[in-house]
Amino acid sequence: MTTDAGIAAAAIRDFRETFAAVRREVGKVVVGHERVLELILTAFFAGGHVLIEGVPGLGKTLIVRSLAQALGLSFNRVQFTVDLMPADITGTRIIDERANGKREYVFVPGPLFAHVVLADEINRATPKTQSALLEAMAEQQVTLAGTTHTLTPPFFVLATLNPIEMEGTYQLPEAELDRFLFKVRLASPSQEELERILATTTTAETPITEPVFDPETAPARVENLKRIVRQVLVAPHIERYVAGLIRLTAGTGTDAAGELDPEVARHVTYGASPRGGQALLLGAKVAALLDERPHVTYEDVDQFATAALGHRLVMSFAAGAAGVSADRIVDHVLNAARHLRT
Amino acid sequence: MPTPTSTRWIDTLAQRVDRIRRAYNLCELQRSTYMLVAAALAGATLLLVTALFGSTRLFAAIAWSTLTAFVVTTVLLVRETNRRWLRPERAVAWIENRTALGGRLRSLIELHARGEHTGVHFFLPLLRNENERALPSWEPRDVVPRRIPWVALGIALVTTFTLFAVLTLTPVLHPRVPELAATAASSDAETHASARADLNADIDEDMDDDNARRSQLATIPAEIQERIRQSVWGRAWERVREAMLEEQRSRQRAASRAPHDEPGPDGDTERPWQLADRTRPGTQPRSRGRNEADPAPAQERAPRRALEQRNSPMDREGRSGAGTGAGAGSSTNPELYGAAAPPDLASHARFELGLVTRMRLQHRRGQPGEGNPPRSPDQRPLLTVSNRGEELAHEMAIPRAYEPIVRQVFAHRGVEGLE
Repeated sequence: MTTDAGIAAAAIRDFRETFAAVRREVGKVVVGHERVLELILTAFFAGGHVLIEGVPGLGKTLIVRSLAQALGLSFNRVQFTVDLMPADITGTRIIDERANGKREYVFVPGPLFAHVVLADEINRATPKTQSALLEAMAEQQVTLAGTTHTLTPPFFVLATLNPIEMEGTYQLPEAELDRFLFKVRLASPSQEELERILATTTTAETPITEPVFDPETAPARVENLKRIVRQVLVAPHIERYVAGLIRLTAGTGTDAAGELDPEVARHVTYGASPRGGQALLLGAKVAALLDERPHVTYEDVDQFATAALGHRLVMSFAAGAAGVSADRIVDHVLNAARHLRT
Repeated sequence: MPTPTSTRWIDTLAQRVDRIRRAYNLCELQRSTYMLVAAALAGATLLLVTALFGSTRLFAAIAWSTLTAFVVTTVLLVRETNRRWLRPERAVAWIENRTALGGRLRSLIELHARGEHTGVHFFLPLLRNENERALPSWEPRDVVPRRIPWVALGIALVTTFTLFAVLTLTPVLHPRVPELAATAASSDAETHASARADLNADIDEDMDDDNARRSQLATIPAEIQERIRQSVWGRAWERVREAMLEEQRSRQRAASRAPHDEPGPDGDTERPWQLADRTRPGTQPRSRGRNEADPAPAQERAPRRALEQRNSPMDREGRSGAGTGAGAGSSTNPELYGAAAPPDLASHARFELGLVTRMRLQHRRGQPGEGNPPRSPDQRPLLTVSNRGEELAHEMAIPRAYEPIVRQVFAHRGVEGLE
């Protein structure tokens, strides 16, 4: 093995070990939800944000807080309510009087200025407040009164949605949904998981998440790992496949027979955006590294299709009437895209 | 720092991919060729067997079916070969599917083709290194283990052997002439039919199925079948065919009950009063020109021939029946109404004139009470009103005194000299 190849192999090994260590630390506190944890960590190292949907009490907040602790990163939690204002999360300017008596505006950073931000029950805030997150999530900066304030990388937003308490909530705009790399659903724990939760959370000594990184160097380490993810090789045939998937969800792609898919056309009003393709590839790159490969394969892409594309599809009224979910459409698209694997 | 991937290394991979592709395509080409040969040989075997032992109609059906099946098979084989043909752009993906390379080879080659080998990529050296390590796992002999499609080759060999066996055995299995003669002489109908069932069916169709001969689709296979038989059986088939034709004529003679069935003076078997054979221009009359054996003794044939020469004006003029128009007789059968009775002019008795021919009857013009009464409807065919006037009259009551005159008239001899 050449020196260059050895360095690359060592980088992959380091990434896998770090990922596994964080996963192990979070797993001390969070019982079950293996797939959700894997998706959240994947999105974190891919540089994206995650929308978690689940009923109260499943451990959404616990997952995010444990992740921040395991990574040794700063963590802020914002409880979104209907009267929450944008300045409450981005920060605001206040008049500060100096010792010499001179007054000037001083920017007071909001809770967004942290490495890991938990936006709890994001759909309870007004669209105005929700949209305050857009710039922060996409460009990792906040603009206030004409002044741009850069968020310190890494910046990771975990938003939660409560699907059963819809009264007094605001549907997330599509533009904001599109900015979440993945959307994951927390399922109810199984019998065994529930028993373990009860056993570990009701004792005198609750498990504690130990930081994997030194808090001083953690941001740099994380950013370095995120750069490694971006270095993973994607061959043209994989790019063609991802592009074909995106076009299929939009109803503009053709199946193996060269015809438009009628099921997608009937049930999907708007398909996935190019951001969906980016999310697929970034997730696939993390999966490739976890599999100790420097390149992406079809299987890497497929395993993130539901999480990356499901929330980006705007379903039609016919789909709602027929009970066709976005996840089902994604599965259908994956099957229809077999012919693209050539 | 990582270095760009070597172009020479990529060329090595590309050469191996090309070798595998050529080996696979050669195998596919062999498979298609063998299958095509097998289809052709199987069809030829079937055609040969059918041509030798089947009737003309069966051979025609098999020939056209085989031709159609062969064309369809050829088209399908070409399509399948085209589908399975490994093109350069598909070769790497195909190799990836058959090996455990996990996309490494394809990624490296495609990235190189895109020109990314010229830049600095963190993971490219690792990918090249992995491909180098995986190189022994996809040797051409491992990816394309079969250089020869044994199944297709086996099928082709079996069909070749089958055709060879048929070609070897069929000359021996030709129908035998003595066997036919024996069965022809036998009065046992069952033995007669079983011995000549296949060959007589062929002859029956050759002789009787005029519609089939008019069809081009039937004519071509018939000619091919005849050529095949002559090629395979040679003179043996000629003898058998002659014997079968003779047998056929014997049967026809026996069925027609014609007492004077001898050849004419010019060797023509057609009698002057027979209808000329309705053969198409350019085709060979079936019975003409062949020396038929007359079952009558030679001493009986000579007087009949003299009588025919005297009674037939056309024959006296030297014309033969072959020169007459289609469907027209050259003279009248002198015994058209059976054997002549001794004339009895004094008698008022009537004789039954057996017309034995189609004749237009005009009952309405006759006197009441004359002629035969109309037959009951169940004795005559149910014809239309327009055809009733052309009803066949088989006999007519004629005064005995008129019998010689009627005979003379119907024999085209005139009535001079009769009192």
